Amino acid sequence: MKIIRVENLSKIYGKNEAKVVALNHISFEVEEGEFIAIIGPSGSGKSTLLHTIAGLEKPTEGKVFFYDKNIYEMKKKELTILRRQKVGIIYQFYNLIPTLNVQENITLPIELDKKKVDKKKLEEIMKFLNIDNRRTHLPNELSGGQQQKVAIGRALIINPTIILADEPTGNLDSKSSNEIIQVLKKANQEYKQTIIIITHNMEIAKEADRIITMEDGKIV
Amino acid sequence: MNIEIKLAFNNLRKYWKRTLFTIISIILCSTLLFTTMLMVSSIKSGIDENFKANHNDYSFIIKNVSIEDIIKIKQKPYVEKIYIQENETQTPKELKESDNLANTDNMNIYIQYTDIRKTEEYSTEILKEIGISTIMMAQKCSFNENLLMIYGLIDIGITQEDNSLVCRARLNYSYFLNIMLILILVAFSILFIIILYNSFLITINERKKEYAILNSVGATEGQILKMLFTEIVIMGIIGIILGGVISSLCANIILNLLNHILTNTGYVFKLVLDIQYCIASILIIVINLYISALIPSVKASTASVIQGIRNNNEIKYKKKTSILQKILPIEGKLAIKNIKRNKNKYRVITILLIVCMTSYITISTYINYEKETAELVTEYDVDAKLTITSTNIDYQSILRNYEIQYNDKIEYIEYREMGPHILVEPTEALIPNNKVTTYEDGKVGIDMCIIGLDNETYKKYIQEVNAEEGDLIIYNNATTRLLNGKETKYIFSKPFKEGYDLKLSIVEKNLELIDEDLDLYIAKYEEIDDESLNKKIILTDKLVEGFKDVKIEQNPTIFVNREEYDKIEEELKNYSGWMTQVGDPTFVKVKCNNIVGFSNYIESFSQKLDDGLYEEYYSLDNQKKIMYIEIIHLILRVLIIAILIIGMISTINIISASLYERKQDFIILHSLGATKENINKILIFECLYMLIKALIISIILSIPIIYAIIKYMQNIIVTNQLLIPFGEIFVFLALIFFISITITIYSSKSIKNE
Repeated sequence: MKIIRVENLSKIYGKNEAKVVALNHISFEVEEGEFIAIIGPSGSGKSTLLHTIAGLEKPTEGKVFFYDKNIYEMKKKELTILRRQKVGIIYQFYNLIPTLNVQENITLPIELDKKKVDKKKLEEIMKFLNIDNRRTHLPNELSGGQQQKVAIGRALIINPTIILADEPTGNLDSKSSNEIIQVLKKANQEYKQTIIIITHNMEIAKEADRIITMEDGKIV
Repeated sequence: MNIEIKLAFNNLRKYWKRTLFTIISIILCSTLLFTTMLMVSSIKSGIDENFKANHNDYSFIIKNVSIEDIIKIKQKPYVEKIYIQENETQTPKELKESDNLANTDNMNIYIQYTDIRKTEEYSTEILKEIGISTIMMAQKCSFNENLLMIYGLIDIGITQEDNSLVCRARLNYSYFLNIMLILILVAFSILFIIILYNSFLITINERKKEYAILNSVGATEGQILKMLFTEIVIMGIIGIILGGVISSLCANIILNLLNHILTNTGYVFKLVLDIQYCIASILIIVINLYISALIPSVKASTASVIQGIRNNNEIKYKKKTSILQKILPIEGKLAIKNIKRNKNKYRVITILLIVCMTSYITISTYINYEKETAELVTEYDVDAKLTITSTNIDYQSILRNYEIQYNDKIEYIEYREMGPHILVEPTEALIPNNKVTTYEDGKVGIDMCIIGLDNETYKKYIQEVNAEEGDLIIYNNATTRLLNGKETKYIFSKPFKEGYDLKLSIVEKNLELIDEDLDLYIAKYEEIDDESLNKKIILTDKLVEGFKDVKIEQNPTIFVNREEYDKIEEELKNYSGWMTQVGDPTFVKVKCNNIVGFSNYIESFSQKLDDGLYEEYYSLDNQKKIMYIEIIHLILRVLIIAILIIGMISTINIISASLYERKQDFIILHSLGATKENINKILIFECLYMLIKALIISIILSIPIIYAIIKYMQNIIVTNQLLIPFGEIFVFLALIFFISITITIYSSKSIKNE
């Protein structure tokens, strides 16, 4: 079943001399349970594509369908709630809330949704990520790899339909990078998570079911 | 605890410096508002108490009112209370419900209204009700002008309009005072909103990324707003409570200073907390907080997620370089670019600087002009003169009572005065001029004033001029007054020549028309008394203390002792043509320490009398003016201190936030070889740019205001000098420059560690 369908997507920044075409009429689909890697040189539009799919950046042209629903026809609040409940986002620079500890950062989307945290699931995820011994630590007390695991935990706790990861290993050493990729791979296999990952690393890309290559805002 | 509240508390703790600055800003702004309200309620209460204590809290006085009319008036819903007085010598007492007025005669009544500001309306209605005639209105009705003036009703009186009597004030500022208060509160509110808006904007900017992250993981705009408003509510509660406490202390200090200025006036202000004013202040602060927080909060909740996460701001590219950027060194260029990039942030500092500077320049100029008017030379060496025409008035006990009531020592001189025409021999002794009358027989005469001094004053005088007991002392001076526009010019001359053995006689002067066509008169005289003034005469240009005002009299003055004066007066009374006034006045010159208190006391006394006591206050206007200037000075100092403190806190807040945001810039500069001196220079350039810009704008704004002040003052004083206190202004501006640069350099210490 197709979770994501992108139709004729374009994104242009700036005007006149400063105009930049980040996405140039892109179309593709994502099946449920797929692990897709998007690769390409810097400035090819990979992050822009991911942000557009996540509903974080409105395209200049085109549509993004989430289970046949155009996300950009939704109201802002509806889109935010969709993201909270269905989309897990992982950033290159972790982007944790600095005033919340590990456990609180992970359960943040659940609490925003005013739902009760499933403690069993929380424990499962923390053990899965091997950060259960750091639950009361703040982000500035963790290593890069640990922080990224917390970000992954935050993405997983909601049992998302799709996980979008924007260079999740970009800021990590090779050992941590490997760990993270294995975690994502495991999530895809065990939890049947659909994952789209942006990476520069071909080794990581090879772990994916499908590789999409981008250049100058187009899929090549 | 739900997530929004948890995040709010976490943020307040984590960003404690920003939280502290914001709370301090709220405290300062709340203090300003609360203090204003406390001052208003305390001063209002103090004025009411003062008048109440002296039984002077009534507006309208009607004499000789029948009991039926009193009952009618008492029943009016707008009549708060009535004081009744059976006769002039009694102190009015409050009419109580239990008082039985049956079998009493007509009484004088003093009416207090529920709303003093509506005195015109209520008094008109009462006049209609009791049917006072036009003829009787002046005799029967009067107003408590002192009290009404404080409430903004100036020169209230009764006039006839369309065949009915109407009470009308010449000027009605009663609602003006309310409007002034509202305008002041609005001005403070605007200041409050600007400062806090900026403070919240800084907070939002610092946490832009965090809000973006929250948005990206699914926090709705409403949830982010809830989080922000929770923070604001917590800071607001702390700020308002502490602001309330500090404002009581501030108001107390200001009231003590005010009481010191108004010592001896009888006014003592105590801190009075009015619940209505309190609630109104809290409401205003809450509304201001809400307004100042609204836009930044909405900005935070609706900001672009991606920009927030990437933490970049769209910098508008500007090709044009200003002249300043061309001539300044690199530090200056960077400074100006930064200011233009963060215009909104620095705007608050600039606005506060402009407000401070403009207020100081204009108000200190106004005070300087007012001081000048207060220091005009006065021709008086006493504070007041009382004229008593009724023998029933025991002025000595009035003055004694005043001393006791006001705890003020007074000195007074009693004297009598008359203005006969004097024939002078020999003729050559009198210098001919327009004051001298030449009679048909060639003799000459001049109008003179004869003053009968009490023994003590007379003895002092004869000692000063080396005269002897019984001598006539002539103050040899006649003054001509010339009005030159708004200025009064005096020309002094000596009517009597020295070295003559003068013989003076009191005569009656008659002018007989001899030619109607040519309007020619011939002067004739009839001798009244040629003996009384037949004494040794001493000509002098000295005046005894207490009689400095004689210097500007038009005619020369003869000083005698009281005994001699009475003899002369007796002699004159025998002359059938001599017009002796009924109740020859006694004059009393008074020196006191508290002319304002004295005038209030005498005014209240003379209002209760039909007539018989008249007063002139020589130093009252001066004293009031000096007090008024000191009060304005006090208000100015309080306002400037408040604005300076608020300004300093805001400036520290803004600069530290700016430095935090530009940490990256400074790190890059440092890595490229910029020393701490270079970085300090950038910051100093920024500071100077803002200060100079604020100074130029302040000067431009001040010019029309100062022009208006000078134009207004030209009606009061004539001066060719520009009375702008340049020195004082320069010192103040230098102080602002110094404080601003110090804050800048001190704030930059935090980036040195980075």
